[in-house]
Amino acid sequence: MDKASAVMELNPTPPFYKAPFHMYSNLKKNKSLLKNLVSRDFKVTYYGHALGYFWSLLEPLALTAIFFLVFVILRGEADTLLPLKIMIGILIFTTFSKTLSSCTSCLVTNSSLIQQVYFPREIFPTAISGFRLVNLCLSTLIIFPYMLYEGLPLTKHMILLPMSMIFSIMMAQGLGMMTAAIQVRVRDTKQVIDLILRAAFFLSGVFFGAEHIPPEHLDTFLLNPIAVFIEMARAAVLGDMSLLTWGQILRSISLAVIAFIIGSMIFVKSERKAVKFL
Amino acid sequence: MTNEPAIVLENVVLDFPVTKTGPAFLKEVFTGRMGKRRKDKYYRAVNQVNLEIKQGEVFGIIGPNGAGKSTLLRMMAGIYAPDKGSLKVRGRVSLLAGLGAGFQRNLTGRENISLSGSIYGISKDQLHQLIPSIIVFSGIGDFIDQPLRTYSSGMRARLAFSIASHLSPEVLLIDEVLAVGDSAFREKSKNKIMEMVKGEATVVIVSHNAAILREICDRVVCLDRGKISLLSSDVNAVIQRYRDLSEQR
Repeated sequence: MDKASAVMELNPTPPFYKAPFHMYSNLKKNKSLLKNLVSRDFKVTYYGHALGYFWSLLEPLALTAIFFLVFVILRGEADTLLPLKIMIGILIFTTFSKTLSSCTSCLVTNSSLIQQVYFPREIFPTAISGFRLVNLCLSTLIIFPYMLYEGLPLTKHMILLPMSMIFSIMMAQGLGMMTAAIQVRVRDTKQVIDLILRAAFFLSGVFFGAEHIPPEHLDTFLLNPIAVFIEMARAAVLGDMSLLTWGQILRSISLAVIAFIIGSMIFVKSERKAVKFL
Repeated sequence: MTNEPAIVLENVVLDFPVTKTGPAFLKEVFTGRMGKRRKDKYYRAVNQVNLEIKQGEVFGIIGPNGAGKSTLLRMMAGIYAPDKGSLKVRGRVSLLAGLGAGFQRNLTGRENISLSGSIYGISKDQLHQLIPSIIVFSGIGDFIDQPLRTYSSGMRARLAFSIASHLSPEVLLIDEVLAVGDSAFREKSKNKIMEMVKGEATVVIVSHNAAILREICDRVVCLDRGKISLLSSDVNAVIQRYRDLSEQR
């Protein structure tokens, strides 16, 4: 009763440097809501599907089959691992781009809810990331039978796979939290973001990899953190990280963490003003 | 009712932006008129409001359309943060406005109860205990495991109201939701609201219904263009002021 017996400032704005901690404690307090929103996204996405959640698995599987047909059978590509490499690239990149794109529009798509009930709005982008992470985990399951088929052993490099998944989503959420409030004011933002993502698709080595880049340009190519995350996932599965250095990995992870921290600061501060434009 | 305050507003101001879109917005950006007078870019929805609502009090808000009633209520719920002044609240707040927050038409009634309940801030354990009672109160019966899109609008409203009536906040904010469903359910829901109103909770209610305000409110405030026009425990005097203001329009 002690704590409740005082009249308290309603949702005070935290100082800038405290925003990430503020966000963390808000998310912790609302854990069950977060869980419910993630499971809602799953149920709504796969509603009325005979195969339901299986599509998270079937889609990359079918994609790989198509690449196998096109590259290995039709074009006679000698590298039978190429479909696997491309599939990994696609999984990491589409997760990144879908997370960023939906985080950008999260305040707009939830506008009716925002005007009806108050709960910390950090929950929206975080629920999106949660949904994307679970979906990605399901999709990556198909990597293992492929590895078995190709006789690839599980190595200690496997640790790079979850790292790549988590930090690429973290980076996408961080960037999305920076743009979410702008999207409320200027709805063109999402179009611009989607175009940038389209360009980034070709710069991040989804259909090719570090192995196809001339050695003198490799360092430049790996300045792009998304390219590094994709290469990390490939290195994990192939058990070979000769094209990557830990320095590049650390740099990309730091960039993701910094993007997340700055994103949370911007989001927590701008969200209060932005909701008035909804 | 005690003398302890439950909601305290001091010089609360809220400005809504006058939004320009498309070409008008671009013109504003390129002609550099962005930073011009604040008055042109905003309208003041809530203007210097001072209020102190006591614990356990039933407080009514009335006023002509566009007076800022709903905005003030949403501020108390935390949806809009004040631009100036301070707003303090004791305990957990629930806003009943536009029922059925977060309803998904393709989820079943039961799934929607969990989702909507957690959006309203009911904890998982509490929700687990409340679900049977929510289902019984709504009177939906076997339909509860059917997707929401198969419901009639009345059934949907009943389910939504049933969830809202199971919230047990310290501060309850009501925005004209006294009539849902068919006549039997309307009676039931009115009784339930009365039960909530007469309980421990502090209640703030926005309504145009003079009879209801007269019946339940300890004090009523009449708002006009974001400002307090009259605040009194003499409910009839406030209602008279509201009628005068409406006629002037």
